[in-house]
Amino acid sequence: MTNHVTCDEFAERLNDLLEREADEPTRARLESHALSCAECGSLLADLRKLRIDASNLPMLEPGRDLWEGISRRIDAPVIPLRTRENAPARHERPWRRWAPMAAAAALLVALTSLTTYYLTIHGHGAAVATASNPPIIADSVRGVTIGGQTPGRAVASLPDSATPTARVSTPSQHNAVAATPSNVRLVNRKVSAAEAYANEAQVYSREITRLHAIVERRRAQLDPATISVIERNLKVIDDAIAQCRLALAKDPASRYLIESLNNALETKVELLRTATMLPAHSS
Amino acid sequence: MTAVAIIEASTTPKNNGDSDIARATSGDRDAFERLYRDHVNRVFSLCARMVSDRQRAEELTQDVFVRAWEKLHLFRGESSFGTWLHRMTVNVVLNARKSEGRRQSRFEDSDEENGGIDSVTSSSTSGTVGMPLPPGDLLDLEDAIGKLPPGARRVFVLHDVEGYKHEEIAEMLGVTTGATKAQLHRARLLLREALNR
Repeated sequence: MTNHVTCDEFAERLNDLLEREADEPTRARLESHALSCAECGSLLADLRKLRIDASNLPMLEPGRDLWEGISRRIDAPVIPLRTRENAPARHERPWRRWAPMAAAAALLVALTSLTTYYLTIHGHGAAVATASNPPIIADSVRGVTIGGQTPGRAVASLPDSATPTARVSTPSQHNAVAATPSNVRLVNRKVSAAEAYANEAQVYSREITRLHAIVERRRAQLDPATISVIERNLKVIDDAIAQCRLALAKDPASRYLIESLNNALETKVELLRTATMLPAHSS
Repeated sequence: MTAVAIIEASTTPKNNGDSDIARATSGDRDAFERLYRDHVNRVFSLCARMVSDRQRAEELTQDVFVRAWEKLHLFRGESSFGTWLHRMTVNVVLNARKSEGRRQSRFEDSDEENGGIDSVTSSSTSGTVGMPLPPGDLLDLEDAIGKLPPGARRVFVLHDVEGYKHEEIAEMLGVTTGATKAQLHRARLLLREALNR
């Protein structure tokens, strides 16, 4: 900054001046400009006064005595749920808190199912597993599957070659995979909540990163409308994940929150897997 | 002055404050009521200015004290009770905002992107923060704060009214300090515009 300060420069550095983050020479130049420019001087004076007034605002009083309501709620019997510390307040009913996430998950499942169904029915020239039982697709990269592996459920992803061809394994193959140590169900009841959370977060993070990379490589092969749907759904899930993580930061031992986070992560993994399995767009 | 310093200064415990905390922790309701009486106005002020809805602020104030009662055993005295309670108030208000549904947050997002101070005087603003209010400029300021877009209002209240630092606010809101600084600057300019009308 030169010695001469323009109004634009002043406006740009005004925050630094108010927050006392400007160095001394800059502060002096800005103050000097404020003295010589009526408009900027007035702005600075107003904002300084505003700051002082704000810090001197008086305390407000509620319009009624709130103690009675507090006392009633304190007297109410506490019904321990999963963790006592995580018992929701009366205004935070669980169904209200998690209803949007559940609705998003349901919507997500419906959308991805419909998309997959539509693309499968219309062929698009891709080889898609169409066995009468749901396909079980082995992860060829690390042999790791995560998530709720109920028998017969599609559980893994495509090879890194990112071709849409799904490899169908037999139930015995599935069982073999499921028996590997890395395939332990992520909610391990024997470890502490914090340990489980850390382990699960790590595994999910790796899997999501890997799936993201595959989807990115396949982006050009997929229909833009499908990509758009996937991205919108990912945004919904990411919002839910962020909310869970924020809540967990405040209450790290809450198994309820951990499981909610797991569910959201699981949904994200499922969506990404679906995306990796979608047949290529045929224009 | 930082938020902690302000709170320490304004909520210096009375002589029996510490013993009330100890008694309340062991389940003494009368002691907890005394703590409530000492701190209710400060908690309510923060809630009211953050949410700009007097009735909702009263509900949130009750939530804060119920939560404080439940969590009192976790209070270790590392800060003053007022500081601890104040931080809990911020958390309760922010969590309540998040739990109030996507519809409202969408509304707020668009409000934050596009809105300024609501220049329309309507019945919906008559119930905003601070009625009755102090006279003169402060009345105007209180009213104008209530009409700020939610994001800008939260940052302004936490920074300029309550004295939190940008780093603390960013952590509480889950955003960057750049974002809080931008919101604060926007809030100040909007307030200046409103107060100079």
